[in-house]
Amino acid sequence: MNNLTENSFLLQALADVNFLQLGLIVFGAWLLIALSSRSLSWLANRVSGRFRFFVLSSIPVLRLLIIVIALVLTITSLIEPTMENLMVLLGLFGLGLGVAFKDFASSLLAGVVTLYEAPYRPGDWIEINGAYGEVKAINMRCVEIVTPDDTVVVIPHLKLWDQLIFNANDGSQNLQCVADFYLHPHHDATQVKRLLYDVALTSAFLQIRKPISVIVSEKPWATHYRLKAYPIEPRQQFHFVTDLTIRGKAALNRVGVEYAAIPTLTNG
Amino acid sequence: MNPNSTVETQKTPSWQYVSVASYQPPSAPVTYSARERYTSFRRLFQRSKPEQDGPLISTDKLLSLPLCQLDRLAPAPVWQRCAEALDSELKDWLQQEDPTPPVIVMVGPPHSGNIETLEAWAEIHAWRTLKGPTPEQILAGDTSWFAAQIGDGSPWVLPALENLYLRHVEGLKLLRHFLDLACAGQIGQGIIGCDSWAWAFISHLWHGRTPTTLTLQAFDEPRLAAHFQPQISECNSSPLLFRLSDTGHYVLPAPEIGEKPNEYSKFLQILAAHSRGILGVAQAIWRTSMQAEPDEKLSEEDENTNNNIPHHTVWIIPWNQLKLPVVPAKIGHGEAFILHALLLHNGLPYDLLKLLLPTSQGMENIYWLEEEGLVTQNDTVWKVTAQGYPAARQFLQSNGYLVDQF
Repeated sequence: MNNLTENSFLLQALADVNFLQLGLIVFGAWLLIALSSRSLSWLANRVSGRFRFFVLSSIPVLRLLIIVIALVLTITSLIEPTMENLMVLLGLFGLGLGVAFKDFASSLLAGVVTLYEAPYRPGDWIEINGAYGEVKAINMRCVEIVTPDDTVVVIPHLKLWDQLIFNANDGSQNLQCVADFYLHPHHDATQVKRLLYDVALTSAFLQIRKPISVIVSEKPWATHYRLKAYPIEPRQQFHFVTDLTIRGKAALNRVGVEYAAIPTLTNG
Repeated sequence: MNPNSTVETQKTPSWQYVSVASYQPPSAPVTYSARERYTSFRRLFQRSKPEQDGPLISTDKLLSLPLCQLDRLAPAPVWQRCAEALDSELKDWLQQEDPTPPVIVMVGPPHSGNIETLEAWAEIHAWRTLKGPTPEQILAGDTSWFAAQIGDGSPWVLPALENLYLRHVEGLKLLRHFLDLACAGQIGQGIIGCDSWAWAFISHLWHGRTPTTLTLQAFDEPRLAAHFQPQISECNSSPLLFRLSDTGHYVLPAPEIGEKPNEYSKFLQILAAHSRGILGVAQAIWRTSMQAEPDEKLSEEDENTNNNIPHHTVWIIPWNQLKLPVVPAKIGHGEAFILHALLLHNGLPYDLLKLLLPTSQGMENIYWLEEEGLVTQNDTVWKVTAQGYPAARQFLQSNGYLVDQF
């Protein structure tokens, strides 16, 4: 008799649910997320410097806020928001997620942590598990990066727990680039060091307020020069390294410095 | 502008040389700053070329002044006066037998007349003017240029240090060598003029002992009023009234015509702030802003009368209706590189500009910048225009490029 009564209560409760209202909440949340993501991404492409990073990093935060508000509205329209009802709902939700979607739940949780700890933000250049690219979007479950070859890589946030995350610019405009030169050991290293410094100094891409450094190390087969400098925009990094390499090679050719060549092994 | 400005004008000299650290760029009214920020924000959302607001006064009643009138009302500055101001600043240094420091650097922003002033100064004092090397000599690091220039060791003036270098891997040697020698006193007493953008770059490439640097103090509102006013009274016997075309407020000090006291606009204050106190920039915008009614001849024979005081009126276009060059939001790095290279060298010929830009970059963008009024070609040299300079500087600064300190 009691079971019958409870079932009828549930049916009654379901009958009371305003599905139109639920649909509107879900649609409204989806619309708001889509609109805010698109408009903020568009705005981020129109502004530059630190404002770009600020606008980009506000996208996931705003999305989380919309989702939380939509969830609260949904729950309060489904059940009476008493403490008992909420505890039961959360318990069921946690159990379901824990059993069926462990990794999914872990990624969701890590997604929330990324918003707080900010190991990467939209606009950052990161490397996770060998994939290097610019963070385009931070979703609830995963981060989307675009590689220099214009390939989108989707990486679940749960990598945050046990993987090394390399962030090249860490929310700033400053991203160090390195151009490598391998030269024949017979040359004036001081002259070459000075020359490479000037190569960086005269690059149109250079962020001149950041230091330029030339690191020299001797290898068994060559002298290795690492020309380190910062481009004005992190997005210019590949053009910058190309520019340094092309002009560096031309300058070295003009002073007659030879490049290292791997000696050909001959039989006997 | 307010009536007290006249008093203030008398206190401060128009031409005044100060140390670079004492340079004070004029401040803008708060309303202007807020409007500028709003405009730049609004520009982000404009897809096409920004539309200008229409003038409040019917524009068909006003005409731009012909060139001869503009030259009469706002002629090119007399650089000899600026040279005289420099003279008084250098008086002690010039009297020293063994001058310390041996060289003084005059730093000036683009369109500030730094080169013209130093040339005028050298002529007054009969000092030798050093001519810059050719681009080929710069790229070859040809130090024989010194031998031809140093001569008998008499005092010298180099009006444009920026002509001694190119932002190219082989274009820095000559400049470093010259500064090493000059600052060590090995080529005698001299004055070096340098563009402020080039000086900002040189401070990164030359690490010697910083020489004494002087600059012309910024032209703030009182200085601009003083500069524009006497030129007007010189060319007309009856007073010229400069009034805003929308409100009728006075822009320059004027005699009281009616019983009511004159009301003054903030036009000159905004102009001073927008032009960053650079006379050439302010003057170029000032010339653009002047208009007159078609029947207003601005000549001595044809005079208006109001309360029996004959006068002519020049109508000034209100600041928010002036059509000044702006940097469109869609501008890319290619255009930024061109603007930056031109400013760092105070103008460049096409071939040299091409040489200094990244190898991948095309040069077609320069014509687009020309259409926008940001750059212009004078003889063979491309330069950032005086009217476009504030917008170009603002754009480069907000995008993280090296800018000058003025």
